[in-house]
Amino acid sequence: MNLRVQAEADLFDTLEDSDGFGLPVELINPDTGAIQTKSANDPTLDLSGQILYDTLVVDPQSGLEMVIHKPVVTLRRSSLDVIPEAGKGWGVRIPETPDPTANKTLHYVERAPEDGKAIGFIRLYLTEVVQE
Amino acid sequence: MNQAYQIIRDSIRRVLAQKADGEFLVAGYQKRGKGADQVVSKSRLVEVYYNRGDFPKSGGSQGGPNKHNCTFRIDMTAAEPAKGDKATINDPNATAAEVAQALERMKASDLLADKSIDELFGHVYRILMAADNQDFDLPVGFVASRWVDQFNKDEPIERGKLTILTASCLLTCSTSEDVEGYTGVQAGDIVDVTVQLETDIPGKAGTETGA
Repeated sequence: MNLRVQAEADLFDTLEDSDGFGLPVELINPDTGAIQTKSANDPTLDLSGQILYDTLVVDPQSGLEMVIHKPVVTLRRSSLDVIPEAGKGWGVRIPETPDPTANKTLHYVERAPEDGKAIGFIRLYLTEVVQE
Repeated sequence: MNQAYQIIRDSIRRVLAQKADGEFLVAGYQKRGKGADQVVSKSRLVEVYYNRGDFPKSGGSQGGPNKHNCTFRIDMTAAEPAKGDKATINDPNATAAEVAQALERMKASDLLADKSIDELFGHVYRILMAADNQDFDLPVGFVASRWVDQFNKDEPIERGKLTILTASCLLTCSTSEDVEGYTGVQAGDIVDVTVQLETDIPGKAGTETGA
C-alpha cells in the first residue's frame, strides 16, 4: 500500500479509535443546520476525534506560559461530510470531560481551522458558548 | 497634604464611580493582571492613575504656585464569552433550518469583547467630557481645560471561554500646585533604651563571694 494512503488509514487508530484517544464529536453545519454524528468512512461508528481540553499559551502581560481551558479537536478529514471552512461559524458538541459518555457541550469555531489537507486531518479551535 | 494632581485623580475616580450607573466598576491603579472572569459583562473595569506631568517654567514662579499640566491614564478592561441561542441548537426537536439560523446569529467572543470595550469607552468619554463634569466636582478653577486626548485599544487575549480586551485613554488637564516646602516629620517622644547599671563596671563583672 502507498505510504500516504497507509498514513491516512492510520488516522483511525491515532484520532478516532474509541479504545485509544477517540472521543465522540458532533459537527453542526452553519449553512444547512445538519448535524453530523456518524463517520463518513463508516456510518456504523460515531464521528470521533482527538480532543485536547487545555491549551498552553504565553501570557502577554507576564510573558509566562499558562494553561487555559480552550479545547482543540483534531478530526480525520475523510470522516467528514463537509470540511469546515475558515470564516464560517461551525458548531461543535464535545463531551464535557474526556469521557465518551459525559454530557456534550456546545462550542463555536471562532478561529480559522488548521487545515492539514496533505496529512489528512483538520484541527478546530473551540470556544464554549453561553446562552444569550 | 495631597498635591492638586492627587486630589484631581481621586476626584476623577469618584466622578466615574458615581456616574457609572452599573455599567462598569472603578478602581485605582492595579499593577497585577485581572482575571478574565472578574471583568465579564457589566463588571468591566476602569482604572484611573496619574501618568505624567509637565511643569512649564513660564507658568510658575520660584515660590509657587506652579502650573501643572497633568496627564491621567484611564485603563479599561472587558471580557465576553461567545453568546448564542444554545437552547435551540441543543434542542433535539429543532429543525435544521432553526439550528442554522441560531448558528448564524451566534456572536463570537472577540467581537462581543470589542463591542463591550467600545461601549465602555463611550460611557467613560461621556462622563469625562460632560459639561457638568468639567470641574470633576472640585471648586471652580481648581482644574482647567480637561480633555480626552487619545484612545488606544490592545489586542484581544483568549482566556478559556472568554476573550479579554484592554484599552486605555489619556485625559489631560491643568492645575496649579502650591509649593509648601518640606514639612518634615514631627518626632514623637524619645525613649532612651541605653541600659545603665551603675554597679556594672566594665571588665570587672564576676561572681561576688562572701568573705
